[in-house]
Parts: sequence; C-alpha cells; structure tokens
Amino acid sequence: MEKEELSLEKVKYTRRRFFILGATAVAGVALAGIVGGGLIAFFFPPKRFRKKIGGWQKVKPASECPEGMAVTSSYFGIPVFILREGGKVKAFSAVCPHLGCIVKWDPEQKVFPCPCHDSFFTSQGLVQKGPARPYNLLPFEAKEEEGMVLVSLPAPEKLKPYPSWFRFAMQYGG
Amino acid sequence: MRKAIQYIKDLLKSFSQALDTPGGITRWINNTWLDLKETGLNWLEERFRLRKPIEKILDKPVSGFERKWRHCFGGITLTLIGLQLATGVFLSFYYIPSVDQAFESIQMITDEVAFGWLVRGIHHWSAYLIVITMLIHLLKVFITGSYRPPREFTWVSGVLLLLIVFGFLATGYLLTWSQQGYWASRVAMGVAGEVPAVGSTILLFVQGGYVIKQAALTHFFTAHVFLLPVAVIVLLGVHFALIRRLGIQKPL
Repeated sequence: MEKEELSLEKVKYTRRRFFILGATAVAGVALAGIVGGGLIAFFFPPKRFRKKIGGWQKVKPASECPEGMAVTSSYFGIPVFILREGGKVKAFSAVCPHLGCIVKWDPEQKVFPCPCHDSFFTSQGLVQKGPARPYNLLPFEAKEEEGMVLVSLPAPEKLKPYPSWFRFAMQYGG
Repeated sequence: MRKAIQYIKDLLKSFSQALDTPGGITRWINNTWLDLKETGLNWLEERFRLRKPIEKILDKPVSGFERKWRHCFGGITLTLIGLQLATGVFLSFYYIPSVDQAFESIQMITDEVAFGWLVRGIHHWSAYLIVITMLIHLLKVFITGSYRPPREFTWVSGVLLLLIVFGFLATGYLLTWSQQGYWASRVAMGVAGEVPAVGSTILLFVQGGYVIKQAALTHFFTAHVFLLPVAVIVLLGVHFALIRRLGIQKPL
C-alpha cells in the first residue's frame, strides 16, 4: 500500500472545513476572553475595598478641644488634628505630605513638627521648612454641632496638587 | 536471607585471615568497601536504570581555563539561593503574615525558637550576599564578553534572575512589618503609584489596595513565598541547561 501524502495544497478547502475552522477560532477566542478576563478580575480587590471616603463625620466631643490646643482624632483611619483658635475649630490631616509620617503637635511653639525628616508646619498648616515643601498640611473642613466636632474631607480640587500616594491615602482612608 | 548470612560468614572469615597478614586490615577495609559499593550500586541500577544518564551528566571534562576563581561566583550565588530556599522554609514554620502578628512572630523566631536566630540571620545576610555575588558574576560575564552569540539567552535568563532577586528583596523587606521595611515599601510603592495613567491600577494589583495594609502584606508574602521561588527555580533550570549545552566561553 502506498503512503498517502498529506500536504496543505492537497487538503480540499471546502465550505464545511471553513465553517469548522471559523467556529473553532471564534469559540477559542471567546473562551480565552472569558478565562483571561476572569483571571485579571480575580487579582483586583473587591469593590468595597476601593470605595472613596467622604462626608461629615463626628470625630470628637467639642468639650475635649480646648482653645489654642491641637488634639488628635481619626477620620476613616486618617489621623487628623483638631485645633481651636479664637473659638472656631479647624482641622488638618496629620499625615506629612513628604513621606507619610504622622506629625506631632508642639504646644509651646504652636507648630506641627514632623519627627521623620524635620519638616515644620505652622498652626495654620503651612509648611515652614524641610523636605515637605512645597506641600502644606491638608486642611479638612470642620464645624461644631450639638457639642460635637465634625470634620469632612475637603473638595477634590484641594487634593489635586499633592503627590499620588497622598491623594490615595486621603481618598480611600488610612 | 541465606545469601546474606553466607556473605557475612565470608566477610568474617576474610577478616580473620586479614588479621594474620601484615597490612591486611587496610586492604580488607578497602576491598570490603569497594565490594559493598558495587553491590549497592548494582542493586540501584537494577531498579532505577540511572547509571547512564547520571554518568552522562557528571562525566564532563573541565578544561584548564575554566578552573579560575573568577568562574566561581555563579556557583556561589546558586549555593546561596539554595540556602535561602532552605532557611526560608524553616522560617515559614513560625512566621505569621498578619499585620498584628508578623513582627511578633519574627521576634519569637529570633529570641525563642531553637537556633531561630541562626536561621533568620542566614536568611538575612545571604540575601545581601546574593546581590554582591550576582553582581560580581554579572561583571565578569560582561567584561569577558561571555554574553556574545550564541550565549545571549544565558545572559538574558541571568538578568531576569537578577530582577527576580530584586523582587525577593523588595517583598521580603515588608514581611518583617518593621518601621524600616514598612517605610521602605511605602516609598517604593509611592514611586509605582506615580506612573501616569496606570499608577493606581498598579497599586491595586501589586498591593491589593491604594495604601499598604493587610492586603499588601498578604500579596507580598504570596509573591515572596510562592511565585518568586517557582520563577527562580524555573529560570535557574533554563540558565544551567543553556550553560551545559553551550559550555563556558573560551577566554578571548
């Protein structure tokens, strides 16, 4: 018996063959898409871990915020300072915009020094010296209601000039 | 069984004879050893048929120019990587990849586990040594031009191995959950987050969130303990297969 030679030219290019090839290709691409898409989706955390924070939050009783003093509190895990000056409350994020250390409050000089790299911020949150320049402490919105201090994340425009990691920490909580 | 008893009887007989001849003991020990070795090897060969492939792998003449100290650094790196894999498995018996317990579990390994300080110390220091020996190895290959055809892909696999080692360092640093490791990772991930357009996606993928928290520790642990070791073993296989097939480059 002679061996039958198989070459590409000899295979008849019928309509049936074309249909089978096409159907296999379409099914293959669809399957790869479903599996690949699922695989990529798996590696991104669920939505509730990617939710943006915001809105007014009660953070401290007003009686615990004496005049001329900064007290610490927490807003969705972000450490914030609440400072009362001339009766009105102000709030700042305590996260140093240089590398993310938590700044301290110096009650004698009324400044916020950063313990990590020696940046200094005034009681208005403005940077005085150090590697945090040119970024000031992020001011939060603050108000008093029914004996409680409420703070809120500022409008998104206020966050714009800051580096990405700082924006992420503020938008998604500490 | 009868065969074994007969064998021991013969052995004792030959031993008593050896006692009477001068220098006989040495010769008896030598002969018995060779005999046992041969019997054992034959037993293994009958069951596994491995003699030929093993001979093929091991019987490789090393020419004079290869016997130089500067050719040692690849081998030293391999030894250190083996050491890392072994000590890493030991450490994983006690390490807890949780933000609450990671630091404490490492303190426990260092202070309380028997020889834990040694295992952790070896893992810590050979991590740094690998970088040094790898870079010397890389410099030697670069200076002698050994990366040239047909050995480009030995070089490519070697550079990929270097990158994987950097991956090990970056992920391992966070696992201690110490101030140093935490802040180093914060800075590194801050850089990754600054990539235009895809920065936040990179962060989500690499650390499982926008900031370094438990998810980041779990991600880094998985990479350090499962993904990177597999990658390093596969690439080492490629690297050595290429070296065996193409040989070491002759000096210029």
